[in-house]
Amino acid sequence: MSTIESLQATLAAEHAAIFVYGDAGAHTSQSAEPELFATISTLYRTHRARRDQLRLLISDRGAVPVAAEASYELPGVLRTPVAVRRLALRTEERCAEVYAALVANTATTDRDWAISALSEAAQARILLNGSPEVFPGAPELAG
Amino acid sequence: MSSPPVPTSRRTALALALSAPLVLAACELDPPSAVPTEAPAAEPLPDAEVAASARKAILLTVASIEAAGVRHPRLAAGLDPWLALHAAHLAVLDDGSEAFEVEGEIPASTAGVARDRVVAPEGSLAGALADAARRAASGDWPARWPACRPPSRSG
Repeated sequence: MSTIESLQATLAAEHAAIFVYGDAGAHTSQSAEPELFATISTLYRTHRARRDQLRLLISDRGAVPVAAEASYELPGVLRTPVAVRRLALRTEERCAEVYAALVANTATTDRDWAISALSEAAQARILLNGSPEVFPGAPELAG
Repeated sequence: MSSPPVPTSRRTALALALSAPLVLAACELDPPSAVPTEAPAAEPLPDAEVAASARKAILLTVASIEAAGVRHPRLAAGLDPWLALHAAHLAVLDDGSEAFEVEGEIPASTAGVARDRVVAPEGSLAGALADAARRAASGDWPARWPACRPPSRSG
């Protein structure tokens, strides 16, 4: 996979993550679950920032950044904070996999970006009460 | 969300690592060649130097953790997850080259201080591994190194 293809795949993942966090935020009570709401809000902003950065990285190469889909299929209605956390965790796991692939397909400053994103996704997992992973984004390496 | 592209090279490297012992065992069963031939020079693995520096950095950390656990046995259980984490990383980075001789820092006499002194360098190690990932030329090795996180939130 070329660098530009990998960047586009990462941007597509960011679009999906933003959609998911939008839904997660809408199903999280700021008053009843202030900590979870803050975490979801932070991660929503993080993914929006990454989306914007990726758009620039792709545009700088003369390519057209991939657009978001009109909608994304969600696993179901988020009825509980546990379900919100689970969906957010899954989102971070999938994003970490995309970032790990981007690390492998980039060099120099693009790779720096991917390394930072991968590190932050691993930390987001902890923020969401997930267990630490030995190889975030590359579970196949754990054997 | 679409399925992320996982570089084939990582899987290929793993498959090679798994099959290498089988290949070596099979070689022992082959009859000796009638005419001795000179073995071709082995091609250096891509990023061998960078991988070696990463292994050395991890081994130094492991040596310090182990020394702290030996001196303060009550710390040992809490340090085991760190050792397991580093062992997993070393296993993936192992390319069969010669092992390093490293010596960890002498642990502090107080258990709490000793623990702090082995936990604090984890951040530096993560930085060193991220730097190694930046320096690596191939697309195979670097994806294995970044985001090596401590095994607990409290560190």
